[in-house]
Amino acid sequence: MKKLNIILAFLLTVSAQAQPQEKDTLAVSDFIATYIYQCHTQDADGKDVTDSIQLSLQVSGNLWKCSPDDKSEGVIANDQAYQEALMHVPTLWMGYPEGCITSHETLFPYIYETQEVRQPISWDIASTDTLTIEGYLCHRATATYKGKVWVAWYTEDIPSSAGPWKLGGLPGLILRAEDREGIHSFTLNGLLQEQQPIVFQHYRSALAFNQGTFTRQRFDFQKMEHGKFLKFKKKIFGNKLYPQHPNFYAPNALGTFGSVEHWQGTGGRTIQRANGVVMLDKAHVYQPLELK
Amino acid sequence: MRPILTLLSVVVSLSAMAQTTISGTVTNLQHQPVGDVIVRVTDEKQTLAFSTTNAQGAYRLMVKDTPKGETLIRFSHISYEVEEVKVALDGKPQVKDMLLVPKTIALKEVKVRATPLTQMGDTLNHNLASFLGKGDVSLEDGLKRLPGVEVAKSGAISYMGKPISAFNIEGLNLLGGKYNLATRNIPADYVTQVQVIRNYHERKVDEDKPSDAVAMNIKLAKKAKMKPFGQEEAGFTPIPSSSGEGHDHWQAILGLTGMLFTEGFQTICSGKLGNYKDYANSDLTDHFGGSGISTRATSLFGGFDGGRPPQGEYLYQRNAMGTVNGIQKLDSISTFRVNADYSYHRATHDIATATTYLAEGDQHVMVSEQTSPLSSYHLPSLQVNYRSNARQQYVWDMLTMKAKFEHNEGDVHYNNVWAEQRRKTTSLEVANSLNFSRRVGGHTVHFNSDVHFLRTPFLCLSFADSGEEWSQTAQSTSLTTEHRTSFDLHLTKKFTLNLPVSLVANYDFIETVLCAAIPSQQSQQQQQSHQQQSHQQQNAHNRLQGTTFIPSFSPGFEWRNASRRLYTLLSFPFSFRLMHYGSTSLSKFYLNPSASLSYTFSANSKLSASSSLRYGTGDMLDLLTAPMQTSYRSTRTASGVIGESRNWASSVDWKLQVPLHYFTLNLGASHSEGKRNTLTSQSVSGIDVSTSSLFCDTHSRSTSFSLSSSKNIPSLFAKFGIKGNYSFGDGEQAVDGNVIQNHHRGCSLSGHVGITPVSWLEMDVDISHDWQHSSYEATRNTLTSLTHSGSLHVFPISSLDISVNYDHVRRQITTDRYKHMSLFNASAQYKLKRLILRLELDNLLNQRHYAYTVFDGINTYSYDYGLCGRTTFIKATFKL
Repeated sequence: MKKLNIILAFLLTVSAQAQPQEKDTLAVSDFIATYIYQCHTQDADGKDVTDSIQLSLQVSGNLWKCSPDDKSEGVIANDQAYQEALMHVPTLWMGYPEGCITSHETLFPYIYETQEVRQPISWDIASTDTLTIEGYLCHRATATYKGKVWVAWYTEDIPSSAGPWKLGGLPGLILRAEDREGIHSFTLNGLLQEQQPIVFQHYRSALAFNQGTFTRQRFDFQKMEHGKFLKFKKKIFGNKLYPQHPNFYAPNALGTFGSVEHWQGTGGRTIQRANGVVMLDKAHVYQPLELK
Repeated sequence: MRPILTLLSVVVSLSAMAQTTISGTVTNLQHQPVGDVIVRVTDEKQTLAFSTTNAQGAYRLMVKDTPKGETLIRFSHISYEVEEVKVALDGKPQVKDMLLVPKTIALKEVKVRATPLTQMGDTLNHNLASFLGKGDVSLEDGLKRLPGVEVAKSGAISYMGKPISAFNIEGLNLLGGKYNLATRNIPADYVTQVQVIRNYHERKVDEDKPSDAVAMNIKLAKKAKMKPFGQEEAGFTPIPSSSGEGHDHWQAILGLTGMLFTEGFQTICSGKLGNYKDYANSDLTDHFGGSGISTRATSLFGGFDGGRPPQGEYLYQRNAMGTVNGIQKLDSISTFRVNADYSYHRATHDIATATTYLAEGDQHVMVSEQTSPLSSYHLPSLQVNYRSNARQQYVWDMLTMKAKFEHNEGDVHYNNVWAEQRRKTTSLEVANSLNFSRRVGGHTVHFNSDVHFLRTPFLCLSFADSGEEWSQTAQSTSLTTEHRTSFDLHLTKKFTLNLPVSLVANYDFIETVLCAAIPSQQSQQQQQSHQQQSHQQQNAHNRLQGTTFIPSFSPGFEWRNASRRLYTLLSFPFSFRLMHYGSTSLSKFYLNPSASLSYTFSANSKLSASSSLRYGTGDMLDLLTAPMQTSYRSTRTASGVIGESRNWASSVDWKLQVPLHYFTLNLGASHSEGKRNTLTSQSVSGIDVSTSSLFCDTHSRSTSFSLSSSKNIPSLFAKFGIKGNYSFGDGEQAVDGNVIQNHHRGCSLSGHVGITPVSWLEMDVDISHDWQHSSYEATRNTLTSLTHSGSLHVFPISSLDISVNYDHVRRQITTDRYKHMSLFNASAQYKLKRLILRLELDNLLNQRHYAYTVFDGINTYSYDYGLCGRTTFIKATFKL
């Protein structure tokens, strides 16, 4: 039995070394837009709160990547990871593979990868309504997408059909979008004409031994059909227990993963990670971006 | 049937004509297909249809309502020149291919910037750079611009009127309450974010408990981390020879501050000295209290400092300080902190007072005096702190050691006579505070232990007046210990039972000796003009020691509803007081019930109400029955009976904070009623005033209403604020044993506007009006004051800040006498990369007096302060 364990451990080590995480450069961006994504919800005590996070949109033609990316000075990586988990913000590759949307989203204790067919959004354009955002003349468009009615303001001065999150398909870049209930909003915060590689992260379900900081570090991820993942999220985040006990559904982190890391976050608070994924201590009421 | 079919066919054909399909292929000069091209059909005003080319360059779109005349098809792509073609749509499908010429469209870039204000739950993140003005140099300058944040002249920070309870830098509490060291020495451009943490929990074990505390956390730029930085300051100015005797002829400052902030270690060290304003010592103000030392003896025999005017620079001072502060992070939850300070202060000023006392038989006695008090002290202190702050366990220990060496002179000129007053004292303080909390299962256990040792080994007041000399000496020792333990039983999710038990055990010793007046050689004539009754006292001696024990049990019931919006706390503290001093003993049970309630409407709106009934007792100072001389013409005698009091206080407060709309509103009301069994009675004889205590019940009542609101309009770079207060009440005082009831009413209203209409101009205006009414028997007194002040900053170039500011005061001195005073200052500040040069021109109108009057029930005090004259000061600050 002991020999078998040694062989298994060896194989796992080899596996880990043979399957490191890979990154593919899919394209080079024409420009990068940053947005502030805000979500109005309630905290665990029922008090109204507004959560916000900065998103980066790298655009190359009909392919774009939208991911949480706050490089502002003073925003530390752990704060961002915490906010990403708190707001359920995915990293999206629109048009990768062609005609599809690929998404990576953390749901403790795993990172989930889903894929769906990219459906065109049927926008209703009202050209008479205009608004100037950051010096760009914008037109108003409305559409029902994923069960929510969205109002978007796009500019024809930037010939790109991209937009924040999964929104897009207008004859110009979307600079602002909000849902009709006023729960979610995306607002342009920066625009840079810069060429950057648009990278896709391949996760491997593997166990990596690291003799450095931690005795072991696992990068587990799960692939799941998009519709199933939506139902899974609704089941977990929609549970009444979730705001007070965000990890109520998950196994004991220390027992399962062997270690829980403690990181310094905003205002001296401690942010815990297990399996490389942030563990929320308190959550906010789930406000889904897509209902179907 | 046939007509219907004909009609239908016409409708269908018309419908088909209304829709036009356009398709085609887009290629480049190499005849390669171009994908992602936006193809848009427009009339003159609006988009009729649009599509995007696929990877093969093909597109297809349908115009639903075909317009009459020509329409425009527009092909746009970020890497190609925009092409347009006019077509006349006739309802038939059309094919329009297009050739695009490469050309990169230059986008109008938008600089990525941090949002000025974001909210993460209870934490408000202010991106400081979004709020900074051009002339702002220090972090304190920047904090003043944040919505809802107020910075007092002393440097004390409050948010929405509530003083902050912790000031952290990168999550570490390096300075405790002495955060001026950071706010006045860290350059504003070294700070990226200012976080205001509402409902702050100092201890993680308390995170489930409601809290209305506010804390501030500063996040530094990368350039301020891992490498030492700081600033040097130097300045000087000559003083006009007319400034007065004993005043310095030159004013100068010199300071050096250094800091280092790494992930695990932080330090701020500073050394400053000068005689310009309170340059050095203001950095060491402890906003959480405990800057000085107050012992039994020093509280009985205060100094001769003569108060301060509300506006204007009036002190001629010298001050110096040296401070070393360091905090080491031991692990993710533990820190070790050391704060060592030394400060020196010497100040003098000129003041003339006219005091009108109510004497026996409704007579008024007026005493006019002039004095130039001089006080100085040396104050070394050391604090050592260990803190371990985990969710399961909290340990905090603070050891404090301080000493204060004071010297005070307060010679008084009255009726063409000089009276001499001297005071010299030494005080020591050693204190240790231990705080321990631990969660056990679902419950929490707390234990606190405070030990406080205070000693004044020597206090001496000496007086000389009208040829007589006499002195008052005192010494005191106090050892106070307080041990508390409590157990929070979380009975259900909604209901918690607190069971705190505490024991206070004090030992006190005090001795006062008043030595008899000794006629001096040249005093015979003066002695005839002024009979000093009190001076003829023989040695009056108080010597008292004793102990106090207060065991108490304070059960509290906490309840919150399921939504956690409603929170109530009922507390019933029982205590038994056993006091034994000399031949006097007191043993009694007390119950001090209290109730509080809060309802959280939303994260931005909260209603709080509280009510409490408290019984209190006096202390050993009530038993000092031998006279004690507190100034050359004032003696004090206690009743010999331990005083008892009862006070009922209630308040209600509503807060509305809408940070993302930069709006705050506070409404509050409070009422209190008190009863004591002793009453202070004054007796005036000649110019001598003596106070004693009467053994009789006395009542007081007070009610107040307050309002404050602030609003920022970022698009206008404007900040507006308003505050109002109205209060009324009554109380009792006694003159020669006769009880007199007094009433008071007052209201104040103030407003603030700060606006930056253009980038090179900033304006601030403050205006306040104050009305006070006081009455007793048939006497009515009313005083009003109107103060307005303003400042104007002009930036002819971005690095130069020229500012002027003024204060204008209209104060009522007596019923029909008003006094106008204007103070006018100017400054110019030039910022180079690391060097800041500043020229300050103070009191340009050379206003030398500031007068005002206050009522104290039955007495009236009129003050006339001498202000420092016109001053020019040049200062250089160099950022290291």
